[in-house]
Formats: sequence, structure tokens, C-alpha cells
Amino acid sequence: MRPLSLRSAALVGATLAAACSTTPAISNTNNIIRATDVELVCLEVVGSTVTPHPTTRCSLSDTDNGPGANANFHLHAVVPQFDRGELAVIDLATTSGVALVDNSPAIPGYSFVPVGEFPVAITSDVSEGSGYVYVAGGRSDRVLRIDAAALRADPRRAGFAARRVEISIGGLARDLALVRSGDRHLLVATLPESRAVSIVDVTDPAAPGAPRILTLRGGGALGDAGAGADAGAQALPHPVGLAIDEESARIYVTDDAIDRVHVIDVATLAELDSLPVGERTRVAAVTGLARTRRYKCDQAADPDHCTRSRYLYLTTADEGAVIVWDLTRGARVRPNVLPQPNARGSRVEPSVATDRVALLVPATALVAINTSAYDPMARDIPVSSPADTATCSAGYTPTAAGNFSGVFVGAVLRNGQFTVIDVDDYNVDTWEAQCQDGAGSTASGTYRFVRHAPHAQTQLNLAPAVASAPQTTAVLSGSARGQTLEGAAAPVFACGPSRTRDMTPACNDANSFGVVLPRRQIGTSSAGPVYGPTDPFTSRNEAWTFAFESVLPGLDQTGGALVADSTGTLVLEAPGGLFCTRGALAVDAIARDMLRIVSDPTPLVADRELCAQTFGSGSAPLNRDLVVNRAYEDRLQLRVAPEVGDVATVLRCYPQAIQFQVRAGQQWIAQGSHSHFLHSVRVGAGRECEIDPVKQAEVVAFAERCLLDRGTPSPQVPTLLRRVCPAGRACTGTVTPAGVALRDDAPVFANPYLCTQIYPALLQRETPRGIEVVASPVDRDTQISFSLINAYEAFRTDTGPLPVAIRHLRGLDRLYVIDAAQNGLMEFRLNPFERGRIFN
Amino acid sequence: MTARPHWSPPSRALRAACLALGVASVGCPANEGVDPPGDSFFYPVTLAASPTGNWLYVTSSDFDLRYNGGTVAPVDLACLRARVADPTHARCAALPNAPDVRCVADRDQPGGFVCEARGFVRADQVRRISPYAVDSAVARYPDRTRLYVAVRGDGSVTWFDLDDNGGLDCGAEGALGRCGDSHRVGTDSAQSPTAARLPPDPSSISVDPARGWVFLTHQSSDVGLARASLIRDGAAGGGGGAPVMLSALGSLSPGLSSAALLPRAPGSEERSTWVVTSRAEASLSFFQAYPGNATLRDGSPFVYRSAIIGVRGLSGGNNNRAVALDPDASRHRAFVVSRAPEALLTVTLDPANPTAAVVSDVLPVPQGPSRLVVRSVDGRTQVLVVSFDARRVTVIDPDERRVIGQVVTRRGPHQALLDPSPSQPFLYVVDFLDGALEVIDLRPPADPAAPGTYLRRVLTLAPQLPQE
Repeated sequence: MRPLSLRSAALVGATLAAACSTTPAISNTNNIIRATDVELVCLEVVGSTVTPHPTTRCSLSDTDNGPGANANFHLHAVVPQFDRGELAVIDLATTSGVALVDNSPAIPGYSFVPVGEFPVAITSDVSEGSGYVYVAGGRSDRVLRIDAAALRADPRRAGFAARRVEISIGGLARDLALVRSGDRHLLVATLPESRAVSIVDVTDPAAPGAPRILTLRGGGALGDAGAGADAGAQALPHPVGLAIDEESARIYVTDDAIDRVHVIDVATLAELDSLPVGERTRVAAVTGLARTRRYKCDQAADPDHCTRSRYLYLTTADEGAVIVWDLTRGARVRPNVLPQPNARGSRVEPSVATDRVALLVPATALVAINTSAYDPMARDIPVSSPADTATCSAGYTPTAAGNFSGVFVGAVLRNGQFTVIDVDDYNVDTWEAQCQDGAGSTASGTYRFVRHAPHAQTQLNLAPAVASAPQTTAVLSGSARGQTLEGAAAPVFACGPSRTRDMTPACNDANSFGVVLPRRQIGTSSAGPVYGPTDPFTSRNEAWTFAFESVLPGLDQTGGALVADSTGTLVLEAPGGLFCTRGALAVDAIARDMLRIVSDPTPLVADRELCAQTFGSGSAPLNRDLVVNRAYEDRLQLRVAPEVGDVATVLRCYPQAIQFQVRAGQQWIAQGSHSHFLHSVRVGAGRECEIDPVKQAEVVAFAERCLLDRGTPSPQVPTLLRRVCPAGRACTGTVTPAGVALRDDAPVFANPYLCTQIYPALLQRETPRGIEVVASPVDRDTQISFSLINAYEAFRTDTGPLPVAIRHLRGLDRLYVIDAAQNGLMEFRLNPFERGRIFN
Repeated sequence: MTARPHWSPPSRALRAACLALGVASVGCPANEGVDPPGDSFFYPVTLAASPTGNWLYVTSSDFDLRYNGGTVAPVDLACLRARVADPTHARCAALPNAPDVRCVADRDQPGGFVCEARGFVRADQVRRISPYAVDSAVARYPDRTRLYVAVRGDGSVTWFDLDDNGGLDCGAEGALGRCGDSHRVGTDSAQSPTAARLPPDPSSISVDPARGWVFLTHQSSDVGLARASLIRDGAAGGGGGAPVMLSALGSLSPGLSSAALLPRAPGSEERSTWVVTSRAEASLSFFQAYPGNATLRDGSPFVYRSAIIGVRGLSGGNNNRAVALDPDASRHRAFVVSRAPEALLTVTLDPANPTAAVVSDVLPVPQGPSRLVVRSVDGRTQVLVVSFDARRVTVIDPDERRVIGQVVTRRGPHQALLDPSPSQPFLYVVDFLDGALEVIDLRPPADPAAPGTYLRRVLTLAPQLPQE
């Protein structure tokens, strides 16, 4: 017998492998893993000779990312990696081969420069012909200084050790920066656990100074007690982040333990009065001077901002929110408030406080960007809104869309995105946007106000509108109310299709579908007035659903127990119910919700017949709706209907925990796909649910603005405002004796994004008195849905799963982002904005 | 004479197919006759400590089905500590017939040693369970202590009565005795007052000894299968009652991966609450065990999901592997290891309102984070994250947002456990791939400049000593 052939052997092997092996794990082979920071240095590379230069000497070609005019001057990125304790060096100007510098070519794979355990931060100090990078380690009270000329060298070679110097900073550093003041070069490090900042004079490379430990003052919201005083540990400082303002010779130090930002005078190295920013902060970026404003200052939210200002952007330690301190005025900015003519102080993003930038995702790093085209001392500058047809004066041209220009801040967010923030961008119409000199433009553009995206490329090219006609879907719940007399006559929105008798011509100027957005006339075309949203930046692309007698979100639960309280009243006990938190209400003339028992009765045998008669079965439930008499955070007091009998009957039929729902009684529940259920219920005295008057007042204010926008006669407004239902709920209009659902009669539903009114569908009913028109009953769970589209959205782009650091190099107009999880170092171009290379 | 049919050899293809079939049939054998090693570990996945701190129970999973079952092996923790303190310690005296401890220097870890596991395992008390154990937990009740092991292979929670001498009673006799049916709860619906069985794919187990609740998550992605279940152990009320399967809950998030028992919330003292992660959905779920209503005729406790929140504001957030609470209860926070992104998440909890929980911080961790433990050192919280792929344990100060140190492990670090004795700061890590138990020294050095073995693997119990 011949031996098995190779093929047969392979078959055996394959079978064996398939039968007994597991899928091999494939690991990524990224070279940059868990990077923490990035610094940019310019190196002149001639053969094996490397000479450092200031970064202004390096450039990158827009066409091939090559080194530009001088082929030997290469911009390099230097990236510390905490997992490996190494410094990766990347040649950003290489046009051939691999950008990663392999410091030890003799070792397989890429080898980098070892810098000690857990490097956390990096900075540089490079002059013409010489310079250094400084790396702070997570477990060392010394900063490692490496000669920049040795960054491409093999650290295993003799002589490299002489290029490395350890400099004592007196503690464990969190952040690191280099400050130049006159001839002095100062290395600054925050030492959180020492509650201090360390400053080392590194002017003389041969003899770095001893660390000057500046113990910071404590205090803040817990009292200006200072270190060691009675205010307790939380009042002690805990400095973490640095922002350097070389123009005004200030060092700003964030603190995540007290609500102040420390200020150090570079000249004296003394701590000045801290900034009472009112929040514990973590990351900081200080901008250069913004321009002097010439146009539309009266439309700024805060006219005081119409000056040349510089701003300190900060992330809060708790939430990662971005707050802004106006260094010129010495006050917090309210970046989430719309400018005039919005006189109500409405928020750009309603869920964010007025004194925070309207971001819904925490920011992890900030960088001040001062684009190369921007001269703060010049007249109004060429900004780059999406200009198109403007006719500009001689010598001026519209700037291209998608460019970033000016003074603003870039932020990377915890969700892996990059965005731009600008709190003083008051180019309220297209004048500045279209022509460099502000001439030749009209005010017809819709690019009206950009609070947190300076002239971003996103354009509001359509007024927000309803995407499609309301979709009506009826979901019968099996209740008696599910029956309709003449088909599924559903309510419609105001100004809706001609399914009602009420087709008021005045509705035509709104839109076809009856969802009325706050709007204003923004121009005139040949077809007549052109409308845009009043506050386009309060709009949000979102799908909305109105559901009649819907289950309140989160209140379809299992685990409630029906009991009788001391007065014999029926109570649903559900300690985890969170009824108020989830928006349940039981207030006469406002909202009275219902408890729906979903479970079938589980009585003793003797009570089965009684319970079946009273509550029916799963396929034919009876009397399962109990009106909520009073709602509390952890329980509902219930009314027992006469059909049910008494409390004892309920308890006999439901002796065990039940599955239940809380449903809105005779009301619609409005839910946005992003906003969810925007109710205004809070936990009140005795843990009873009540309307939060502040939140409800906001809703009423939205409704008032909506009515006024629609031209409702002023005398009618107060009456209608009294009918506004609780936030998040819409109520159906009524039918007049004449059988007309008057447009102005229906309660107004309003939220920050839209307003509308809901009318009943009408039915003709024969009566002994003749034909009567009545409101058609509405099926429970009837849904009306629509979408808002084309709302303004701030510019955002993806970076990587976990961006942690960002750098900008003025004159280069490129951004470098460190993604600690996956992408390593990422490059973005600013003009036009473009996602660039990834180095990993 | 009848001519015998001529036998011709089968074709090569047929021969190959037969051989392949034969190989396939024996390649993954039932192995009824191959007992697992009774004095070491093989694909260990979980470990638990006795409340007295004298014993460690290491559960081996028999992941490759090489043997006819997994095991639960008691390890003499006191002896382990003694060996760490004294490299000349030669024998675990508490172990009957224990062999001498044989060790060699750990070539990969200066100052560390590798020892044969058999010198530390109480072999006569090693018990056999079904394959694919996934998690374990210990509960101390008024008059007994129990160990629960969630076993995927037979869909059970196999439970043991423990004694303080390393004894394991699971209805089996002798070394490598197979645990009896009476000690496997969840496999027989007749044992349950609600006719419930344990759902498939258990992923974690958590016990509330005060109430006797044994709560399990299940990571099935099949929407038709239950994903949380509840067992009640009658031993919580004193006496020797057995655990009883009570309820299984469906229509939940997929991929439930881990659970942590929360402190009791005001107004909800009667209910035990767990926060639960998912490896397939960006959510955190909250489950409560409902004890029944004493004033009514309610005799059917069950588990229900009391709240669910989205893990928002992250790139991903939908692959969370483990959760643990801050030992400082006043901080009201939990820590979660995430693989999307690969990070340690700090989750701030609101005891009165689970829906208000938010991810308040994100810190990168090495590749493949899988488990974590949290401890308090001089009033400061430390999180120790085990990264399977990166083969290391990272020690993080979440308040300083700083990596304190990293410990390089062997090839497959998985579950970790802190020594229950406050005076013995060691971390025990089961190494899934190497079949080892690693001991990591967490004793801070007197002189930071001379860290000694601090944050190093000082001892590894391996199936055999490395070849010289």
C-alpha cells in the first residue's frame, strides 16, 4: 500500500485542525500603542547629521507632504507611549519609505527611544541649531531631557547616554510646558500630588537650575482657606493642566480640586490672584487676541465681547464640559446663549447650561488655533463661511468654503470626534463671510450665527422642515377604547392635510404638515418672503413621535406590589419605580396618568372566577386601567373603579408582584430620537410628583414665541398659554358646538425645537337632533411621527476611538491628534479641512 | 470452490477520508476515561477565597475538553504566603500527604519563583465538575460557607459547602470525585418551585449573602433566551437549605457580561440591586431581586430589570467586560473595563436614581482588558486592570488619572482576586493559557527607590517546573 500522498496528509491535517483547534487570535501590530501626547520639532537631516531648528523653519508641501522649499528640513512628531515607555519619532515630511523612524535598525521591527516608565507629557525647547525635548514620566520625579539632535539616533549606541539628562522637578508631573520669557527658558510642570507647580530654569543647557516648587494656594468654593487650613482636604489645590500665554507672560494652571484657575506671573514666578472660574477644571487652552469687531456688535449675546479679547477655554473636571473665561473682561462667558434678537436668553442647546459650550460629549483635549491667515491687528479678516455668489470689491474675493480661519479652539471629544469652538464669532450675517472687506454682500444668507464652529463647512441650506407627511400608525391595545366608529380617524396637526374641516388659510405660510418651527423672515425672493428658523442653531435633526396614551418611557416594569395602605387605599409599591423621575403625574386639570396592570390575576383557586370576571384574561383583559390618584417617586396611590369593586378584590386577584405600565391619560407623549421625553416633573415634598415650575415656564415661553411667530392675536395668547400641557405632553384640541376645530383653540405643544397643535379628527354622527360633528375617539398608542432635517449641525469629524491629545502648529495649518486606542498619530489639514495621514 | 473476491486496497482518497474521520472522531473525545489532573490547574478561569483567608479555590475549565471535566481545587493560601515570605519554605503542613514544595527561580521575573502547583493544592479535596466553568463566588452564611461555580457545560450552578480545612463538599467522595446532582442547581426544573432552569451561557455570578441571592448574567445573543437569573440559597436564613432556582428573565440586553452588587439604596432596603455590563450593547442595566411581599401571599421572589441606561459619549461603549465598585462607598462609583474603546471607565452612580449614572472618566489601558479588581490603599482607591492580550496587570490611581505601575504576567492572565486578608496585600491571577496561578506582590516598599518585588510576580504555581 502506498503511503498517503501529500494531499491526503493535508486533508488529515486540515480535519484535525478543524476538529480540535480554535480560531487563532490575530493581534494588531501597531507601532504606536497607548500614546499620551505629541510634540512637533523641526530637524534638518543631512546624512547622519541632524540639526534642530525652530518649527517655523519647517513646512509641509500641500501636494505631497514633502518638506517644502528646503528639502533637508523635516518636521517630526515625537510621541511618548506609556505602555512601552518609549518615544516614537515620526518624520512627517518623508515622501518615500516609512515615516516612523526606526532608531535601532539592527533590531527587528521598529525600535524607539526608551524614556522610562509611563511617560505622560512632552514639550520641547528648540532654537536655531540646538534644542531639546522634555519627557515627564509617570513614576519619576525627574524629567528626561533628550537632545533633539539625537532623536533619530540609535539609543544603544555609545554616546547616546550623553544626550540624555535627567532633570529633577521635585514630584510626579501631570503636565509639562516650556515658557520663554526674554532670554529665560523655563520648564514648567504641574505636580498634583505635591499641590504645586515646579519651575526649572533650563536657559543654560549645561546647568539646569534646581526646581522651584511653587505651592499653590487653595480655597475656591470651599473657602479661601489655603493650604493646611481648616477647610479640609478638598480645599487644597490639585493642579493638573497648563496653558501658557507668552504674550501676557502668564501661566494658567487648572485645578481639579478647587473651582479656580491658578495664575503665575512668568516674570516673578509668583502666584497671582486666581481666576474664579467657578468649576473644577482639567484641560486648558488660551487663544490669541480675537479681532476688533466692526459689524453687528449689537447682535452679540454680550456686547462687551465686541472688543479684542483673548479667552481661556477650560474643560470641567466633573463632566468634561467646556467653559470659557474672558481674560480681557475677567468674567465667565455664556457661550450657550443665543445672541440678540433672541431676547429670552434661549440656549443653543437646551440641555446644556448657559455658561457651557453647547457640547453634548465631554472634551478630552483642547488646542488653541490661530490660523496662519489671521492677523489680529489687521482689519476684519477673511473668514471663510461658505460664500458663493457675492460680488466683492476689487481686490477681494470670496473665500472658499470649508476653510478654517481666525482664532478659535479645536477640541477632541471622548466619543472620538474633533470639533471646533468659537465663543465670539458674531458674524451674524454673510457680510463678513462673503467678502474680505465686508462689501458686496447681502443679508440673505442663512449662515447666520455660528457659536461653536467658526465658519464651518456645514451649511444650513434649507430651513428645518418636516421630512414627510405625518405617518399614522394605529396600534390597538385591546382596550375598549381601541374601537372606532368610522375607521381609523386620527387626529392631525394644525394646518394639516384636508382631513379635517378646519383648513384655515392662515396656516399656509407655515408649512405643509402642520409642525410649526419657530421662524422669522430672513429675506425676500421673487416668490415672496423667505423664512428661516428664528434660531436655526436650536434646531436638531431628529425624529419625533407623538403617541396617544402612551407608556411613559421607563415605566413598563415588573416588580410592583399592590397593597392597601393604612387608610385602605390601594397603592402600588415600587421602590425602584422612579415615577417622578420618569415623568408620571397625577394632578387634576393638568395630567392624570393611569396604571395599566399587564399581568394576569394570580389568585387562590377560590377567587379565580371572581378575578376572571373582573380582570379578564391575557387575550381579553378587563378593567386593567386604574386611575392614579397621587403619584410619588416610589409608589402610586390608585383609584378603584366601580366596575372592579373594592380594594380587597384587587388584592385578592393580584397577591403577587405585577407587571405594570404607567400611561398618560388622554394625552400624547412626545419623544425625540435624541431628546427623548422632555418632561418637567420633579420629586416634590413628601416625594410626591409635581411640575417643576422653572422647566414648565421655559416650555410656556417656547409656546408664547411660537404663537407670536404665527401671528396669533395678542389678546388670545394668554388664554392659549394657560392651556399649555405639561412639558413633553401634548393635548388634543376640542370641537366647538359648531363642529369646528378652531386653529387657535387647540393647546400649543412647544419644546425648544418645534411647536404644534393637535386637532381631533371629526366624525359626523346622526342624532335625533340631526347630524352632529364630534371629535373622533383616538386609539390608544396611535402614533404620529415626523422628522426634522437639515438643521444646522456643528462641524465634527472622526479621529479615533480614544483621542487624548491635540497639537496645532501655527504657520502650518495642520492638526495632529493622538488616539490612544487605535490610530496612533493622525494628521488633519485645516484649509480646506481634510483628514490626512495616519502614522502607526 | 468459490473464488474469493479480490480485495483491493481502498483508494488514497478513501483512505484519507477514513483516517480523517477517525482522527476527527477521536480528536475531540468524550474522554470518559481521562481524568483531569488532581493537583494542578488547566485552563483556570476563576478563583475565589474563603472568608477566613486560608484557602483559595481555583476552578479549571477544561476548555479544550482534554479531560472528562473541570475541577475546583483548594489552594493553601497560608502556605502560599509563607512561601512568598520565605523562599526556603519547603512544605505545606496543612495539606495531608502533601509533597515537598519544589520551586525554581523565575527566569522571566527577577526575584520571582515558579513552583509546582501540587505542593500547594489539597489534592484529596479536589472535586470534578462539568467543563466550561466561567465564574465563581463565595458567600458566608450564619452557619456555613458556600462556594458557587457557574458552569456553562451543564448549565448549572455547582455549589460546595466549605470548611476551614480546605474541604469541599459537593456530594462527592474522594479526590476528583464528581459533584452530585444534588449540588447542581438549575439543571432540573423539578428542583425549582417555579419550574425554572438555568438559561444557557452563564457569564458571571454575584452573591448577596445577606439575602441569599445568587444572581447570574448570561451572555447569549439569542433574543429568545433569558439573560439574567436568580437563585436563592436557604442557607442565608440559617440551617442547611440548598440553593433553589427561582427565576430567569428574558427580553434583556444581549451579551450581559458581569455584575456588581450595589449597596442598598435608601427606600429600597428590601431589594438587592446589581449593576450589569454588556459586551454587545452600549448599556448598563440594573437588576433587582424582589423578595416577595410579606404582607401578601407572595411566595415567588424574582429578578427584574429596574433600569437601563445608555453608555453614551464614547466611541463604542458596547463591549464592557467587567465591573467593580469603589470600596469607598461614599464615592458612589463603579469601574468598568471596556474594549471599545480599550479603557477603564469610571461610572458615577446616583444611589437614588440609577438612570442618572454617567461615565465620568475614561482612561486608556493596555490591549485586551478583561477583568479588574479595586482596592483601597491608605484611603486612596486603586484599580487593577487585567489585560489578557497585553499580558499585564495595570495599577491605576483613578483620582490622579495616573498609572502607578504595571506587572507583566505570563501568557493568559484572566481573573484576579485580592487576598482577603488586609495584612496580606497580594493579588492572585489565574493564567488561562499557562494553567498557572500567579501571585503579585502589592506590598509597598519602605524605600521607593528600592522597590524590591513590589508590583512583581513573586510566585507562580505552574503544572510543572520549567525545563532547565
